[in-house]
Amino acid sequence: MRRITPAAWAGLAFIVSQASWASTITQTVGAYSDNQGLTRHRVGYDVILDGGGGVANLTGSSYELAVTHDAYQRSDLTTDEYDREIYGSGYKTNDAVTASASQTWDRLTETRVLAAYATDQKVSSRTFSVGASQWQRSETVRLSVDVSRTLLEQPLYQILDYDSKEVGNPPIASSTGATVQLRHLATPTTIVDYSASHIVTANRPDTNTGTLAVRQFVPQLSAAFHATLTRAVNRGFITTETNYGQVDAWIVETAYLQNLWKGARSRLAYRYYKEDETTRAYGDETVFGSDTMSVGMAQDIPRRATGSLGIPLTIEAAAARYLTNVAVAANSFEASVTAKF
Amino acid sequence: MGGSRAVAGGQKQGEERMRIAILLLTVLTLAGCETLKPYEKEYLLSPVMDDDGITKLSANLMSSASGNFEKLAAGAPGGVGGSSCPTCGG
Repeated sequence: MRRITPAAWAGLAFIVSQASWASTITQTVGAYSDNQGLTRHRVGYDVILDGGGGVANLTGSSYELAVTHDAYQRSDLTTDEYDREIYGSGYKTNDAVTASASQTWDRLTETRVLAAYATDQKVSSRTFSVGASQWQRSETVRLSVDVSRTLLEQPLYQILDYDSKEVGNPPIASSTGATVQLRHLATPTTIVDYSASHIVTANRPDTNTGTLAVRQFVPQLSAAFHATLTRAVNRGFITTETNYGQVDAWIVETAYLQNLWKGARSRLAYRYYKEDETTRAYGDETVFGSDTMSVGMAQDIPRRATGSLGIPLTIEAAAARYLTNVAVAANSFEASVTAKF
Repeated sequence: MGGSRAVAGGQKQGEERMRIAILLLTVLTLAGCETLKPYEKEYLLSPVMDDDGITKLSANLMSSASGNFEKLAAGAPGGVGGSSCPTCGG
């Protein structure tokens, strides 16, 4: 994929700044490293054009274009047979672009569409999704439905399983998913989200996922507690067209978000992941687990404080530490600047 | 083989329980559902309760990296965002 030059971004920023719609441009940089010898650097841009109307104009639309470039470097290629076989090098890049649009019809009904493409020159994926949501009961309950389809193209890479049969993903794999979500504003300080999804994958059993999430605002602290519980089940008949067995997972995430001084807020989060796998060959049971700690902070900078720039900015930063029960340890850091026009 | 069947059977029961639990929670929530007036949503519109605000404070790079190790990291396709008070204006 061709790179977009800084001059092109500057031109795009100028056009966006001249448009009558509200718009934001975000630049993100990030770095990741783990004890498996993998480092990763990311640069991303996100442009949002928001033509949402005010109270007098109950319809509006929003368009978003996000571009991400990731560079991966593996210090020791002998530790990863897949990378050695497919990429022949410890270095690879991944480019992704996502375009989405949403239309609000009467402030209560929203329709949306999304298209995404990502490639690392060997593996590529295309995703297309459509969705709609509607507020009910005086804007207290929102029902949302989303449908998505993903097409994945990859080189054929097969390995010998424990029963000496060759297993591996097909060169072209597809999946189709549907998600129903219900958001309930339960009290003036509580939001409850229910979500259920069903994904049909060509070379795997269907995946069923259920999520329950609660957000509780505490006015005395000007802070919020968030808790999310997710159960995902991907079990059924396993063929040789996949390289892992039946799996199911529990995901628990808790977070504490605090409004700090004017225009500043922070987030401290913990995520627990547990995955049970039953292997295809002999039905062996394995358990994988991980813990993730993350901290994030954002600061709004008003227009008057940005001097000659004359536009309001938001600066965000987040760091995370990831540990697994198979001795993987990883760290990440990312920072972004958002300009609002 | 018998072990696989037992696992599949237990799994079906688990899925059924999960569906029932989600349905029950939804029905109970909606049964006790009281509508909120726009002026009662001040706290729900705080940046620490807002979808976009939460996303910007999250470690998104690590979220994508964990998919290298976790087979069900994403759990489900992407959901939806948006304000808690669509007619509050602004």
